[in-house]
Amino acid sequence: MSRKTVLLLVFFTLGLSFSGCWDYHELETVDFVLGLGLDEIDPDFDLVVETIKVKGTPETEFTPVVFTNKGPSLSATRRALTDQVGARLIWSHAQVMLFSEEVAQDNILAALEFVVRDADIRTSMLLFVTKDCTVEEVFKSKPPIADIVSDHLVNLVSLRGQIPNFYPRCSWQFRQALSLSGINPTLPTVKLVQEGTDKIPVIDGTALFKGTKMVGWIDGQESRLLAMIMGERDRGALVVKTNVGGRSGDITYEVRSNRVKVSPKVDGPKLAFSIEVQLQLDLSDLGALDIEYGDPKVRLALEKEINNLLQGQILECVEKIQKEFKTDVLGLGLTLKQRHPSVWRLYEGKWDEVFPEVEVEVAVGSRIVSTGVLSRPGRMRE
Amino acid sequence: MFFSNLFKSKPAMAKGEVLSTSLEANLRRFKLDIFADNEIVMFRKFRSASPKPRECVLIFNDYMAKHEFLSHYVLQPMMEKSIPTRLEGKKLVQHIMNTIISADGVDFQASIAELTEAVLSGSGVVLIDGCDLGIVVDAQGWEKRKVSEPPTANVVRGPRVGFTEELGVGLALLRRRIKCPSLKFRYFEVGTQTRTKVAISYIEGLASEKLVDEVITRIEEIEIDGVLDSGYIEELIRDTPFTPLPTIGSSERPDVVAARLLEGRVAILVDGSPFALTVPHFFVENFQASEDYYKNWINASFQRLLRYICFFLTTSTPALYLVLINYHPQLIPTELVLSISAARMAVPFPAVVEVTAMGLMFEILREAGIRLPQPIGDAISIVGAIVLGEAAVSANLVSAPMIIVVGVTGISGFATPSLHGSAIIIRFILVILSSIFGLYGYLFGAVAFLLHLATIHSFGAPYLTGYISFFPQDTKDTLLRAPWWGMLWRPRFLATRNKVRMRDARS
Repeated sequence: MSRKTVLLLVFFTLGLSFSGCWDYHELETVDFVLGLGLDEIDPDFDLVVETIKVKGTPETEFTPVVFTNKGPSLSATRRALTDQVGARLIWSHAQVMLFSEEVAQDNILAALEFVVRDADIRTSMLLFVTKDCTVEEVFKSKPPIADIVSDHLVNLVSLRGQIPNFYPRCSWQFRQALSLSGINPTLPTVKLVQEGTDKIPVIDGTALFKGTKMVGWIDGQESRLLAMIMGERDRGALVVKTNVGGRSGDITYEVRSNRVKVSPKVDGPKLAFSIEVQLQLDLSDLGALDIEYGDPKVRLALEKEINNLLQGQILECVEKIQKEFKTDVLGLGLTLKQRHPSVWRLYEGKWDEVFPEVEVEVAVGSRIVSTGVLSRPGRMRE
Repeated sequence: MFFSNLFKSKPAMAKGEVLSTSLEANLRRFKLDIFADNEIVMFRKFRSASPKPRECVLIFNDYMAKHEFLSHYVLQPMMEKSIPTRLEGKKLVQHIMNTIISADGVDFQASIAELTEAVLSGSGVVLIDGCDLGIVVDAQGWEKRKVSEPPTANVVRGPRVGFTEELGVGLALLRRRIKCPSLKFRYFEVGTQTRTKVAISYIEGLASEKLVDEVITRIEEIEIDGVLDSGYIEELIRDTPFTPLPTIGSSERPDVVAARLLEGRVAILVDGSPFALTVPHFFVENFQASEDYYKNWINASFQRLLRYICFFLTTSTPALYLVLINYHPQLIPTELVLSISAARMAVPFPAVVEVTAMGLMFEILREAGIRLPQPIGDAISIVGAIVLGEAAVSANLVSAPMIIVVGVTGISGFATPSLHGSAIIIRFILVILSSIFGLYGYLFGAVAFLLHLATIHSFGAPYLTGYISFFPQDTKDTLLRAPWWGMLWRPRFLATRNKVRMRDARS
């Protein structure tokens, strides 16, 4: 053999032995995990897994199957589950992971450690906390369109623009918020809603964490404001009670774009934060309210009403988070750390005590930029 | 020599053997020895006009000579005019050639071997009693195929002319495209038995002299009994014999060959083959179609990119499919992996068996369809594909996605016809590597293929010439086809002496 051939063979064999595991399996002998969840972690890990049963002939059929198993650790329970399923489980397609309220209150890190360590499970997997129901109940519920609960949840998250009442988090984002100082993590909440005879899962509200433990909930409306402060965009509806020129009624706007600027204000020993929200709105539904919105004066009045309303709501939400839950899920500490690292060093050790008392100003500036295809109210003939 | 090899019992034709003065002896030699058992050679005896008639004989090949021409311009004048008796030998034949025979191509020969070859290639030979020289009259004429559109390279836009099996026609077609006197032809004779005429063609001052010399040396070195197609020459003179990739270009289209000549390449035409060879041949040329240059450069560039994509698809689709479903299902979107999984549920074979079996089946259908009469061939391959595919899926022998994979693979292979054969080999190697080693195996195979490409040479030039160059002009006709007003220079590597294609390039 020539030198070249020998060298090539050496490279090839070295490459083979250094390039990881040989991982061959036929597609029909495996089962895909689409979602997983934990109902309990103490004393045993109570793992719930949603997989899918595939039938190829004569017609393709997908049926979700839910398995549960208990074990001393998540990793061990996962392996033991294979026995029940009777097929090799592929975890890389898992899209959602649910934690019960109990697990979230206990110590979520114990449940999450394996998930972020394992090479197969994606860090883009969406995380949720179930409220007033168990993980198993959620996976066994019947979503109206999708067959598979995990798919249903993923669909809902992708539609967040229209139903902005939650703040979605995937595992790498959650983990980042856990590990950084100056911010505490949140997770969206999954609830079951009775719809006729079936219960359907919805995402509404947010679970707030202080470190690895859940400390409380906020509702969907507050979650939207939280997401807005965190810089998340939405295209949701905004209903404003209006009283302009003696006429009153509800006007619905749709958010076209929102821009939020959170900035710390350091003035000697005094620390404050300002939150500036800028909204562009589409007037989408006037109802029976007959106002000349084409008139700049009227429009200014309308915009002022929106600003006042939102300002009050955001302030209320921030205060609730500060005073009631005392956990900096807004990441105000992180903003301070990024803008004024030297100031942050003064507060770093005692941020949990400082945060509830810190002063927050909110300013909202909104503009109505579009009124749909009508330039005047849709009046009836008089 | 020629006949001694064929008929050992006959007396050998000595190399220097010449005619004798006796017509009878000469005739006996031809009729009974050389052309014995060769009924298509005709011997027409006649006598020249009075007062002193001479015995003559016209020897010609019945199906290769023009009868009317010989009767009109050889027999008739010779029978009507008398030959002066005082003339002998050379003077006699020169007199006949100058004043009696009115055919345009005449020559005289003494050597029996030369005369024999003249008869065999369709000329008429006149022997005169008392003269030891024979007159050769060019009267070749036989049934020829008409110049028509080549079936292997159809175009929507562009000339519809193809070479025929006639060497002369081919050279004329080239000459009609390049009327400049620097277009040169050099002739060779290859094949001890077939004595096939081979011509090389190049543009003097454009093609590098070294290249021309190299081609000539390689053709002269060929020792073979017969050359029946340019494929013989191609395989005998090519570099890197152990590669499935073509290192010599071949084309049936005179416009393509002319274009390559204009870039400084050398063409080799072989009598009896409608395929002209061009050297050197680069990998790029497999993706260039003649039509690219005749239509809008934007569309042409898109189609060229498409050809590259097709080559990737035809070599890699089955291998990548195997890799994805057997080793890396996480790389496929969830819905897709589920539907592939559903389709594979009832299939008893591993995916690699499916791929190989269906791939083979496709090649069998193609191979079987090629040589069938055209109307039947098309019908059979289409029906075969549909029926076999449909039946195989409903019988759960293969999964439906596999049919798509094999279909995509097979169809895209036709986009680069000159690489079709090599693509099959590459594809099977990649499938085997991928099925054993996964994505790592595929990448290893792909890298090995690239390395292989980089090691190949064609007549001294690297096979990948054109793809990477420090001069933008050189890369303008590779992945995309630059507009004509942008390709000011000829390819640097080929046209070493005369690089300017357009006047603008000088300024």
